[in-house]
Amino acid sequence: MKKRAKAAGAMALVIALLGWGSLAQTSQNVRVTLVIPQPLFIAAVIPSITAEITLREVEGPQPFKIGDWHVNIDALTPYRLNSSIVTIDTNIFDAGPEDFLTDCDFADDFGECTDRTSLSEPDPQNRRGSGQNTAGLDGADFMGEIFLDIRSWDVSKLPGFYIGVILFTTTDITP
Amino acid sequence: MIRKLLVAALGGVLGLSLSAGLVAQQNVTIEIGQSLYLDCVPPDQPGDIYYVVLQSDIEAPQPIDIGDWGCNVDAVTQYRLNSQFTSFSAPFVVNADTSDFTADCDTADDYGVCAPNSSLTLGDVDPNTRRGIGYNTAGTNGADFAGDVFVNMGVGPGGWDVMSSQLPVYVTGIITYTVTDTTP
Repeated sequence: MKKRAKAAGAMALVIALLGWGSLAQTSQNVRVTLVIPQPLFIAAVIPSITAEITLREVEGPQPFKIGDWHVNIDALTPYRLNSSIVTIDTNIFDAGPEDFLTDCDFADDFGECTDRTSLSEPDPQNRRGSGQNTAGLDGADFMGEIFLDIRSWDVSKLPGFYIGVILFTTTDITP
Repeated sequence: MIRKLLVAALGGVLGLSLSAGLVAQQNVTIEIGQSLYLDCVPPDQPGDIYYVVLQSDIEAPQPIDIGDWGCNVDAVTQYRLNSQFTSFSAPFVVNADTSDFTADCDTADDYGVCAPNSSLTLGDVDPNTRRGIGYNTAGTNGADFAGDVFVNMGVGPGGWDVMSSQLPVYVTGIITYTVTDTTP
């Protein structure tokens, strides 16, 4: 009789939708990390210059053009562009970096040319230009010409030659 | 007097019936402790974003895609899903802030619907930070929302200015995803 009474009595069914305890949440954090290992990239578009000096160059006005230069810069910072020539080898007396000059004729994508011409002195004399962040662009193109003045040269052994390397460098101007 | 007698008689009949098993009562209580569950780092979802900016990223059209996001929502109510930066640090990148980052929502299933909004900006509010909305997902594996996170590093004088003296430079932040009952 007691069992029947219990069975007939109220029976509560509790369905608890409590989820999975600590996993239940309505907000969650995701960490974002961006790494920038290098903010400046430079590439020489014209890899080399070869010039032969003939009678025309000897007779012509000095300095005379021996070639063009063109570099492309990708940047995530404001920068300056410099270039200098380093002598690798020569058999010409008095031939050196000071005989070479350059200019900057063109710059795009937030790049700006300077009017300085030295390839043998430190910044700012050898500064070709400056620029800004180029994100989303194909990089700032800088272009110009390279000139040579041979008035001081003394060629005593043929064929005379001069081999040098022009180094283009970009420097963060807000380090 | 007659009324009292009738009530007593009815009580006696009911009592006999109960004790005889003719009528039973069963109480049902359902407790719902939580109506929304969010999981944005399950094993099959992207979770944290770690991205290295290369030269190709500088030349690429901005903004660039730096990673995916994915959240699973289990719901017994209608809801909206939001995400935005809740902390941000870029001490060595001048001009960088959370407004440079955006997100989209590409897919949503199980009654989830993507929103076109894109803001991840710290301090911005709904609906600008809304990734999507959804409904009751009972009986399904939860609504899966997924999309991409982008960054625009700017250009020109107002663009990012990375301090080369501190390389490699890190930009870090926390994107917080939240689900909110839209019928509270």
